[in-house]
Amino acid sequence: MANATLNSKTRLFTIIMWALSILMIIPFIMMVLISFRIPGDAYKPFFTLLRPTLKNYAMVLGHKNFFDWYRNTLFTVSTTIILRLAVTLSAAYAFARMEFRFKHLLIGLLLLTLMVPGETTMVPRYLYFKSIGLLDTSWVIILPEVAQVFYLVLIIEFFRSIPNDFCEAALIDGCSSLRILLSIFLPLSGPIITTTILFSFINIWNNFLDPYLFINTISRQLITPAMKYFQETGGANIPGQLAGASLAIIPVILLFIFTQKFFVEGVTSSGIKG
Amino acid sequence: MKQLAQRRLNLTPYLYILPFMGFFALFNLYPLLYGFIISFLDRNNARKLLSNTFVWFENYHKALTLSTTFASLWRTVVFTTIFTALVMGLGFLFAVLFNKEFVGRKVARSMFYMPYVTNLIAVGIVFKYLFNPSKGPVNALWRLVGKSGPEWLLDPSLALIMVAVIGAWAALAFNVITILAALQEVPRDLYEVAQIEGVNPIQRIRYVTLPLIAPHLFTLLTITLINSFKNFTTIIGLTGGGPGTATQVMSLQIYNDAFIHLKFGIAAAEGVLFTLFIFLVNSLVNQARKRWLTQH
Repeated sequence: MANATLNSKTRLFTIIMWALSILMIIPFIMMVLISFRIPGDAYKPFFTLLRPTLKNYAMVLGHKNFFDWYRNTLFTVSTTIILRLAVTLSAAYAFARMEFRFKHLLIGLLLLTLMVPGETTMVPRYLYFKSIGLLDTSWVIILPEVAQVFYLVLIIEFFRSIPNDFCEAALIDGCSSLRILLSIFLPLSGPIITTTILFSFINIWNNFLDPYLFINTISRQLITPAMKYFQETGGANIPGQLAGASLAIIPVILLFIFTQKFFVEGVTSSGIKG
Repeated sequence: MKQLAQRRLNLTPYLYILPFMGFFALFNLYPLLYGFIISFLDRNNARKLLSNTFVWFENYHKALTLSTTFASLWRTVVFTTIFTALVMGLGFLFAVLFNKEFVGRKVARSMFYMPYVTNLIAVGIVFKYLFNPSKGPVNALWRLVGKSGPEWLLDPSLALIMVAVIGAWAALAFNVITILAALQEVPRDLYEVAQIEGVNPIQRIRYVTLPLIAPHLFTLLTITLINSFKNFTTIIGLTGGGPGTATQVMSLQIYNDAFIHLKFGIAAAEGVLFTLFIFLVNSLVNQARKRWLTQH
């Protein structure tokens, strides 16, 4: 008897949790469903039989700049990731494993800047990037993204967790510090490199503020601000806008689904160790 | 000879951090300091964008006497309060719920995390559709009950709450994941002891779980507050600051003053003031954390 009530309780709990989870993604379900309607049917009731169409996708994909946006975004994302990994892995190695003067002062300074959102520095960044001729290029997004404190802290934490014995053995064998980084730390860094790539991809792909401010020419734009442009110039074609939005989020959602474990680990280590 | 080796040894760490610090100084730190400088310069119309005329505190004076500044700051506070309360509160609630086993928990959890990886412009497009006052599905459901629904994002008294709630929906997963991880650090036997003592679930959370994960919650609160100030994209995507100025928060005012009204000097001063405000909020949280930690 007690078991039966326990079971029905568990079942109720399961149903509630599933209902809430589905509620969380209803906006996505609606986004995809409505994107297959013809513009005139956008606001027709949900359950009415409709004629599905691929026209909206044809329209978005047919925009003369659509593949430019994808290409620009992929170029920006991949270049940033390569540069970011190179400079951040090497800096994190020194911060995690070496003692030197001003180390704690530097870390303190770096952490302090984490508190300043990009929203507050729109003006100086715009004027500065303008004066050094970076505006309207992919580099205006890439260069400031290379040295991000968030990823530095993430990798420092990871390097600190690698047992000391490995390095001591290598030091006794007369290995240089560069050798230790390349042949001991790097091979062990698979998980944290994956997390970095994943987070970099998601963040740069979804970045709106910077490209919106710094890139004007529509053919040079990245995918997320381009969706805003689509929204502004597409008039009242809601299904068209939603088709664009779907195409903009699909790569990130797919990536997320296949790499969830690393995603959760990345959030955990940044949220807990802060 | 030995001295030379020593010196070389000491230089090594700096060589490792040099590329990172170089990029950081050139593209992240310098613009920050440059903003401070601009806030003292007369760069307040299109022809003076690179002017170097020093005007002392005129920009600060203008920024603080603009009627819009305190209204925008107030809206920022409202947005931050609603956003932070929802993300922290619901984040805790759902972390506790997802900490229990149930069928298909993994799949349900990834569905729950999905909004977090989605870009906020797409979010804006779909929520504007869902909450369209006259034709949208939400008000269609509302009408089934008989009444015509609220104007949602187009209602000046509701719009700010709406953008904060939708922003919270998009940001929730980060807090759920973090608190879940913190919960898994709580030793199992403590719960068993509580069970033997006949403690009910609410008391268990109040007296066992909360005190143990409180340090994590303070860290998370700091991160959540900082994230709540990164609200430009959420609001541009949903309302663009409207209706009227109903959702014009500080970040939008800085944007408007600089890129619409071309008052870069004043906007830079607003940026500096806003940064100081954020530091102030953070130091208050820090004080609270310290006081809490010394009490427990």
